[in-house]
Amino acid sequence: MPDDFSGTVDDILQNEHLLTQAQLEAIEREIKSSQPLTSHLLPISVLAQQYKADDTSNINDDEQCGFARAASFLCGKYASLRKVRGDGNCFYRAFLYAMCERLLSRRLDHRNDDDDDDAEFRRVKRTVVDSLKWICRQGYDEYTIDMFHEELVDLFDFIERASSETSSKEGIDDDHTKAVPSENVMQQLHSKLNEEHAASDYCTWFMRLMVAGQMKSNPDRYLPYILVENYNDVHSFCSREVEPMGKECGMVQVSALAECFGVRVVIEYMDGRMGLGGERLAHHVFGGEVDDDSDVNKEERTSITLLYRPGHYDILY
Amino acid sequence: MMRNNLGAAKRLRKELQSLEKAARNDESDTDIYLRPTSSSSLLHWTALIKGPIDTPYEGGVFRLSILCGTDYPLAPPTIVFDTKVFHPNVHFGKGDVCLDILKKEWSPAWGLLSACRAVLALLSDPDADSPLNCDAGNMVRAGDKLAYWTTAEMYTLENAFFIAWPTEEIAIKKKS
Repeated sequence: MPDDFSGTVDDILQNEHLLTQAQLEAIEREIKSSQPLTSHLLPISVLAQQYKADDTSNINDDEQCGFARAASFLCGKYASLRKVRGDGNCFYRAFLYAMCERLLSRRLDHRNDDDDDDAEFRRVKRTVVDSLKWICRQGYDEYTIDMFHEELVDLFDFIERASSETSSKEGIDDDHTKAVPSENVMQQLHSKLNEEHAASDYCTWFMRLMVAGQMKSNPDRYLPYILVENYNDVHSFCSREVEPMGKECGMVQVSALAECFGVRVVIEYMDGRMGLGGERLAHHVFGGEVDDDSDVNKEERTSITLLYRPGHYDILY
Repeated sequence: MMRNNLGAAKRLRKELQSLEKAARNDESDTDIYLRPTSSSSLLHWTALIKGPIDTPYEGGVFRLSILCGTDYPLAPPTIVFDTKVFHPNVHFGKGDVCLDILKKEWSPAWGLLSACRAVLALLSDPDADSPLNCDAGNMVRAGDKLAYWTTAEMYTLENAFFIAWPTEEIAIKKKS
């Protein structure tokens, strides 16, 4: 009798465990089917509309007004928005997309300049290519991570190839046909980064490793920030908060990735706290200081702008 | 370029190569034997693990069945005990394992071998707060070490003493 009873409890517990697991998976599937990895470019007005439409909801009024004010402020400052899937990887994915897009469009703009050697592209690509070696020095097995690295290198090869191919194909009747092929190339990048279980996921995870590697090789720099989050060492922070896919990212990860790439990340913080008299939104810049020995000066460095709303990042233009 | 299951196959092939290389150099883990279940698919693996010393599982050899999805290694493998085992975090009937690194703490930097090591560590260090086997969980939580130990040991004797460890076979093969 007691045996039967405890067996039942065991089954209930097991079922509960499966249920939450199933619920989580259902939410994941829902997000996956309703949100693309990275959306098409949307007019910034969708932001204002979203907070207007929510007018009747029960959220604290002050906060709601703060969001609406922030939205109208952003509508005056930016032109477009690109939404990123809310699966916990949004910061890394937004960073990847925005950076690749910047680098590719820059190369396309300058493809007919004879003397443009695009030092910034070469600098970022070198950072990517060289990263595998120093990440492995932080204690990762090369055979478990090299295919993720290859995928990111492939993406940079694609950017390089795509931007030079179009310039050679034209040539004959350039001025007239120039705009269309550029768009095609950007569209190719967009499709590439929207393929499920492919480039975007693989590169996104490798960027998580770059963050972990960056933090592990400069523990003194990052330790103070993770102490606040109740971690005692960089190692355990990375294995719980950085390396698993789907783990959301805080300020430390943002600054580590920006510093690792030497890319400037501007973030507009839309958290509902913008007061009535507020002139502007809280706004932070990461990776702004250039202290490596590269010959690319500060003004030519890639800079991306992201929008932060609690728990989520999108790209601003 | 990874296309769906190509990534999984490529990675699993590398893991197999690394295991075979370790075996050739006599550097294999002494308490884990891990190989694909059959030569027809790299997605399904079998592992044998030796019950850690100073635990009620000592002396036993447990068989694990490992299934990788086509999204492996971005998603964790599913690991199930084929051998019956009495442990707070292993389902007594189905063999499911409750282990954070096989769920939301999984990272693609882990491989199948490190996942097996984590299962071994779980045998030494049960977590009574997330039990899949309530009887075992309650015994550990209540501090009734004797009850837990004797029950677990009994099931180890009953179920885990029949599987031969394959390393000797390999050693013989190598000699001949």
